Amino acid sequence: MNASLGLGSAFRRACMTPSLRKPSTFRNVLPRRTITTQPVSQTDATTLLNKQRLNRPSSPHFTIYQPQMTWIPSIFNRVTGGALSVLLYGFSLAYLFVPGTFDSAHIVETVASLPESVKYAGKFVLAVPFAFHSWNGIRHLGWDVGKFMTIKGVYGTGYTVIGLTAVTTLWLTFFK
Amino acid sequence: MIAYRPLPNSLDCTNGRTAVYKGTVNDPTTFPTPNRTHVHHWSFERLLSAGLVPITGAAFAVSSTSYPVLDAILGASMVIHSHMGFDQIVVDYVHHRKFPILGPTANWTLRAVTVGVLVGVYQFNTNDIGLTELIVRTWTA
Repeated sequence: MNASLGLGSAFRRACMTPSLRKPSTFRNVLPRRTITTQPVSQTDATTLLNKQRLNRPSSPHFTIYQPQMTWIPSIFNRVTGGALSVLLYGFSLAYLFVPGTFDSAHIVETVASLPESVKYAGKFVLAVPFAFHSWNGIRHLGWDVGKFMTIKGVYGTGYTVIGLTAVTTLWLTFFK
Repeated sequence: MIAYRPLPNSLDCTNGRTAVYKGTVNDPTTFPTPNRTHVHHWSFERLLSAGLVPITGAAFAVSSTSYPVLDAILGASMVIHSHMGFDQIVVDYVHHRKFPILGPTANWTLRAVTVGVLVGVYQFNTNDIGLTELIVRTWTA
């Protein structure tokens, strides 16, 4: 810039004038910095860094992703499996500790006394996770042997699982 | 499964979500030593899942009262399958690296509960009508 304006040599000469070259000249002209630094040991630096890291906010995740076939059935597989397992664990522990209350006769009797609508609702609520987890489990086994490992495969098998889940759920709820 | 990439061991999470350095920033990252049993763990888990397909199918097809062995196999394999699933949930969401007290507590609680569940399932299959027959009767009650 200075060179293009033909000021290069003049500017250089001004700066290099012996009186200006002395550091004390600049120190008096430039405003004093109010920030002071102090030496910090390695350990203190790490402690300080860690203290700052703890104040860092959590970046947005999970909710920023569009619901897609690649991950919605995946988490639903865990949720349905977990729910069915909680039922199995809950019943088994209940029978272990209070066999007189949770024996088959009492359970069947209790369920039989429920209104028809509640029975159908209950069957539906149980059939959905069972059907989905079963079919999606087979989908996972397909991936485990290296099949359907493409975006097309993920979507194709995904829609197949949803379709089979719907049919199986209706069959279990109304025809079994 | 949704798999989150694990943090290296040199990062410790004291408040459950933020990574804090152990040692200095220049220390090399340490990783768990590879172990062949991890492969066997995965193979066993997958074989068990695959095995549940014909077992579930058989439970639908035959009358369980005449096949108590089916109830025993179904009960044991479903409990182990559930245990491994719960264990993965613990590993993913309450890992001992992030939760030094809650993580191991969850792990040992799960183990204890699973033992209790196995006994409960055995008792029910032995002294009552068995799991498959219970499901059939409850479903058609």
